[in-house]
Amino acid sequence: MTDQDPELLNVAPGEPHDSMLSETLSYVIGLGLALVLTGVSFWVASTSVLWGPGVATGLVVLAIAQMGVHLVFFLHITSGPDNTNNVLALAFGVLIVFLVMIGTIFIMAHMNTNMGVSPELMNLQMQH
Amino acid sequence: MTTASEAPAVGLTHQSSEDTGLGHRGPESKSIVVPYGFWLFVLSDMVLFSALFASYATLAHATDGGPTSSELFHRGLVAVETLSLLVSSFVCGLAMIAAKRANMLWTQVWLLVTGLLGFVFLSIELYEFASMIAEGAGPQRSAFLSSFFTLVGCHGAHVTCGLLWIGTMMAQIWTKGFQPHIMRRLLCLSVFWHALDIIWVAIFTIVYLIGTLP
Amino acid sequence: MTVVQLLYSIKTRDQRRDVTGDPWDGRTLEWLTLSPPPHYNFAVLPDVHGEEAYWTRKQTAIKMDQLIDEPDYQPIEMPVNTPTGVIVAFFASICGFAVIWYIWWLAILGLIGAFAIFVWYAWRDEHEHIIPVEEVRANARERRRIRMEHLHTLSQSV
Repeated sequence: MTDQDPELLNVAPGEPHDSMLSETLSYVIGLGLALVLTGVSFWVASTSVLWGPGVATGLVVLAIAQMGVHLVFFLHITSGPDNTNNVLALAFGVLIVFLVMIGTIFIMAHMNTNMGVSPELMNLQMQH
Repeated sequence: MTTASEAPAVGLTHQSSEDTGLGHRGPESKSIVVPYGFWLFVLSDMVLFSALFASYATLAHATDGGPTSSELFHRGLVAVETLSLLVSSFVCGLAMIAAKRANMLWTQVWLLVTGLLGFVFLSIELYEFASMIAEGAGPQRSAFLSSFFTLVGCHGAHVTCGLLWIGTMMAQIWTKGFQPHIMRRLLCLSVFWHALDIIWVAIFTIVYLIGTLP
Repeated sequence: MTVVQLLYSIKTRDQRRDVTGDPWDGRTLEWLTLSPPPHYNFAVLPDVHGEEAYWTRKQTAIKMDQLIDEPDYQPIEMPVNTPTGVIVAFFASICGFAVIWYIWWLAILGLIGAFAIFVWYAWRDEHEHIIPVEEVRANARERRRIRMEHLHTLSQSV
């Protein structure tokens, strides 16, 4: 494969900016949003603003939002035509992560229920 | 099976070859293919972490009568760790912007700051691990603690490798300048560093925040 | 019994050697290259049409008694060989062994060794060597000559 690219600074797909200001702005906005989301996460976890059982879900939603902010503003994963390969790869990665995590949690929870472990043994394993 | 008489219909006219010398209609240039390949590696790394997360989620309550997450984790320290890593990610972006303009001074400055903030993160984490082990809450104490040390320790090991890589890149840029292959490596490093911050978002939410809910 | 078979294979290897690159009248594209293949594998990226690209191409060549036109050869960029992988694996094995037996000083030594080799590898200036167009063309023409003879044999056995 011959490298016919003479440009020293040709960069990966998804970087359409040329001006330093707009590039820097992308990172500044990303940092700002991430700081806000982090602050809100810590706040939600310490006050009773959300209904008790819903706090964990709320935190996960905030985490996913912050991961999205990182992907778009820091990693420049956009929906441009140059970026399609990156987005497809990401989608596949997310699918596998989703399967592994949800699958494991589902299976383990049901296994514990179905195995009918005696209460004393269960207490030894799970202490709260 | 197509017969020979159908060959022209399939596009083989034998009059002109559309076979290409590699490079014409061949793969994309290295500056596109290399970061894409590294992105694929980073995604596989995230699959590794998802397996560790799944183990942690399963074993988070298997404390064997020992210390629990609420007793062990300090949110203040976690907040400092999170801010360090987040700002280091931002500063890494600034380093890339400077590198694209072949600005030696600012590339080195921002890379140094990235490394220092990463080192702050790592120090806090090592301090946390050491104090947990000192009070008897080491990885051998319970399944919960084993999975905690594996998950967070794996992330810390990745951060350590990232710091070594940052140091190496700073030295390489200094001695070799902003050549194309150095730029590609820098781009891969920044993808790696941002990905580590993404994983930390998941860790601080699931392990530290959800683990210390009242 | 296996020994006898092995010895026989080694003794008669010159008579049974295949030079055509397509000893079993293959149907898929990997049979396009020489045997043994050049270290860059293929001289050009073949233009592929339809389902059985190689088979169609071969049958057309047999029927029209000529190979497809010569493509426009280009110089090929190949990576430079390096022993880095093997040496790093050696140090990684040392590290792994040491970690199993809690020999911490050896584990750290292994890691330092692996990292040192990595840095040494990162500092080299020659990453690729270019195979000149003349060499690519010469190999490809040799292949075409061999392939034309082979196709005659194939068309007769049909």
